[in-house]
Amino acid sequence: MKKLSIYICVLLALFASLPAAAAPMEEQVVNIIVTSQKYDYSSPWQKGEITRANITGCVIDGNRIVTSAYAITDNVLIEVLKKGEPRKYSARLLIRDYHCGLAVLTVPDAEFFNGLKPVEFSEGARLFGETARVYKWDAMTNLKEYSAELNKSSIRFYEPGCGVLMHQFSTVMNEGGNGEPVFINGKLVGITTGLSSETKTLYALASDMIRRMLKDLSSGAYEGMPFFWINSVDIQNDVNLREYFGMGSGDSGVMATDVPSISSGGDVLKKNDIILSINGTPIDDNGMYDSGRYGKLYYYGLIHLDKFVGDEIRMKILRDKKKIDVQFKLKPIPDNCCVIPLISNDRQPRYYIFGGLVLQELTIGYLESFGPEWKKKGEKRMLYYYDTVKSMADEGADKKIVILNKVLPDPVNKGYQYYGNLVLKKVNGTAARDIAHLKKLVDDSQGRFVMFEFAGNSSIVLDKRSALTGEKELLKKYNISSPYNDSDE
Amino acid sequence: MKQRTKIAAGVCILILCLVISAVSKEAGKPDIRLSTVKIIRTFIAPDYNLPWKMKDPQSSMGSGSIIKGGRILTNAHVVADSTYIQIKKEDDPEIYDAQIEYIGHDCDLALLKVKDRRFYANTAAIDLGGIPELRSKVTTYGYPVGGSRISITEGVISRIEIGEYTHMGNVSFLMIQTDAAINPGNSGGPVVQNGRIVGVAFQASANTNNIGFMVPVPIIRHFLEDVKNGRYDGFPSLGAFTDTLENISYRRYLGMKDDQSGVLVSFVIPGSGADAHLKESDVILSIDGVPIANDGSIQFGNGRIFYSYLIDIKQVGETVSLTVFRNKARRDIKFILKPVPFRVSWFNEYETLPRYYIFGGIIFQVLSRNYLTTWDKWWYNADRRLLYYYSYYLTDVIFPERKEFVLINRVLPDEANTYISDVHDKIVDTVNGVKITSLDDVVAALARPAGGFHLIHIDGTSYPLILKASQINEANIRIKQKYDIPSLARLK
Repeated sequence: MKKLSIYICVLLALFASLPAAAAPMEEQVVNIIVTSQKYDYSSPWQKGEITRANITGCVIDGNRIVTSAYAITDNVLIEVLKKGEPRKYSARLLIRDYHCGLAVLTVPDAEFFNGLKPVEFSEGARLFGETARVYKWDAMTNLKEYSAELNKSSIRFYEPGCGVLMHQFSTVMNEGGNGEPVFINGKLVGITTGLSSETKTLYALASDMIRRMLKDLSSGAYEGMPFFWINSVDIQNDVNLREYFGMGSGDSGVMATDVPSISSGGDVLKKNDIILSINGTPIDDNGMYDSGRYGKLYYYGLIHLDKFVGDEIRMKILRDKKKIDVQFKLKPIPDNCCVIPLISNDRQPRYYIFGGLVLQELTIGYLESFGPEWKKKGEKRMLYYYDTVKSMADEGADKKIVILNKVLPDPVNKGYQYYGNLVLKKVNGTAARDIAHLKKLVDDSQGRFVMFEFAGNSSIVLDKRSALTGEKELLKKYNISSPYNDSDE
Repeated sequence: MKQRTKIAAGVCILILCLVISAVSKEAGKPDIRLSTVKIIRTFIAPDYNLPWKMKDPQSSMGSGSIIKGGRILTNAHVVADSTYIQIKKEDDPEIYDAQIEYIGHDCDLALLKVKDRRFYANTAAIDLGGIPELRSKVTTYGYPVGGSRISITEGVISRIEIGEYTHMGNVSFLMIQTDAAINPGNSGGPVVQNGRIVGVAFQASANTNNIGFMVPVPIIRHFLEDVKNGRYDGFPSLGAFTDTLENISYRRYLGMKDDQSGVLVSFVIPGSGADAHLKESDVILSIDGVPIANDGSIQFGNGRIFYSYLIDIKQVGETVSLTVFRNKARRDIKFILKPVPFRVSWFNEYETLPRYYIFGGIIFQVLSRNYLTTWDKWWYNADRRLLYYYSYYLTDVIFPERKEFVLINRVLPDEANTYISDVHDKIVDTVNGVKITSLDDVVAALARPAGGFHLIHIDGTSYPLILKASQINEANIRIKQKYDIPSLARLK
């Protein structure tokens, strides 16, 4: 204990040399211990491994802490520590948004915030080329400082339809990317969300994203990122394409190639529209605009960086060789925006077990259960659906792809035990929209048999009464508490 | 020169002596060593990535056996894609040139002939036997891992089953497993019991111990019968996919009685023999009078094997008789068997050159297994969408109107195609407004530009790839020269 306090004194002394305006970093940066348990998509009725991670957050006004949403994913318990002190406080999640990658926590015991100060957000001049400092609590008692060079700021996507501003730093850090705050000249420029130890690149969500989220929160109900979900292609300098579409020599922009109706502007934009400007800001032939502070950014930045649900977007577009102005209001992200939900974090798999057939909805979590190389090793038909998810968007918001994950061997399903990874087409001749609908189709079926038809033309017939009679025994044998789940929580 | 001939003559005598002693020892049984030869192949395969090009020539060694009629029986994969085949006998210093008489890639068998009559001196033709009993002893003869002396190993028959013939891939026939060592170079050599061939050694199971396979006599006989008319047609296909019916609920759902058994037709391949004869949800109860069990097996000797054997022993053009259970009633149907029809080849192809058309630097080709296997570990690394089309184009009814799937392999960068030069591995939908159903369609459509442009729409994208018609002729000449392409088209 004595040793510890000496250490802290030394640290304090170190920080005393920083500009007077900034509070010492250990008053702004806190340590977070997350206990997580992910859902097991291959056995959807149970949870998987329990992991515990030591991550970082920083203090913001209103007795709140901000960190990376992905660093606290599937959490069971969140504890926070400050200033290297051993006391752990329980934290509570205020908001977690996987679309923008951020989470805001609070600590019910207000005492925690005694002696802590909120960070200041960086504003103003261009940041490119500046040296940043990254802070990380190590072994819970030692605040480590790393330096990092800002290489690039760009728009990236967690889920298609939501662009986020991300900084990329080159760094010597070996561990991190879990919510560590990044400062330039003592002011927050971002919090880390990933680290590639191969390329020594540290990724950090820009503090603009945090401010956007806080502003959204301050208006009462949190509405989240606006939903703009089209496919587009950069025109580049393709003279042939320009001539074909009637672009003038001074015109530049991006071409919309897929416009699902559920996207904001989905009822206004059309395929092969060329977006020339957004809210008066011209788009160049690489799809970029000049953001000033961060240099050139991809055009999604004009929609996602400082716009909110309900805001109006004006676009100048070239359609059928004519320039026209269009406008539309930004819509919120729908609850079920994709036929295949692309974010599975904190979502319990929806499944239904009937006669030992484990049926569930196809999600990114399920695809990821094929292993880290799932894009290569996953089932080819499912990967095709994943790749073409946007073109399936208009099939209806509540439409999901139901799959047969596997068959739990039992006398009732004799002969079907090698069936697995199949896409369900119909139950008793009717297409199943989702798990709830599938269960209803089975429950309501009047005949003696239930017929399941799969893509690839294989099929399974079960005797409904035998399946129901044997259900209890089967669930017990495989240690399954419930044969059915259709909620996310 | 004279000197040499003398030596050769001397060696011949020596062999003769050896032969005499060997024959006398084996009491009337032929000496298999006199029937076993080493086959040295030089081969060259086309590069499907750069379809006008061939890959480097390579060499390989295998084995073969001399059968009746001065023919040498070996594996197709021992002589596939060959430019030059040489044959060597064990105790003959001469190397003889050989030609392929017939080659069957599906069953991995080939027949060779040697023109030089001297080759047949001191050889013995070996007869075909039957199907050996499980656990009975067999001997393999061949030249594993090269070597100049014959290698003989012994083992027992360990399994008789239908399995995949990997040379062509995606085909399964009867195969017999033995624990006698089968190594590279053994391929094509005889597996012998009581002085007769019971199989041609052809493939081994990777990552296991002592599992080697031979092509058994029924498959060899099928091949020999097939070529009697001077042409190899290959094995016929039923023309339908089936599922087993091991689950009693499914059988009752179909209205089958407990004493009925069979397999369920899940898909009928358009253009196959079964097309218009078999229907989905039919149950095939028997083929040519042989009853099929619910697990898809039939009685075979003392054991059971998969029913596909009943089709495999028939020739293309023969009639098959099926008893099916349709709409709760039995009915007998007959149809003529055809080869597997395909629009996207599921098989490894040999002795064939890729068709292509190069226009403004765009390389048009067709989707096939040979194209996909250009990727290393292709099943994981090849383009995902192409793999999906390859795997499921039949059952998912993808582009049913197309005779073949035309794709853009890649674009050879040139000033005429600057902004589309990173396009690769995309299926072509339309060219200048024409729906593309074959490579020939592409050629025809590109002859008619629309408004000074060539517009190519590719699968999965809304906007066209555009080439300026006026630039094409110059571009083609430039590309042909710069990329050293002998011809911009191979359409046959």
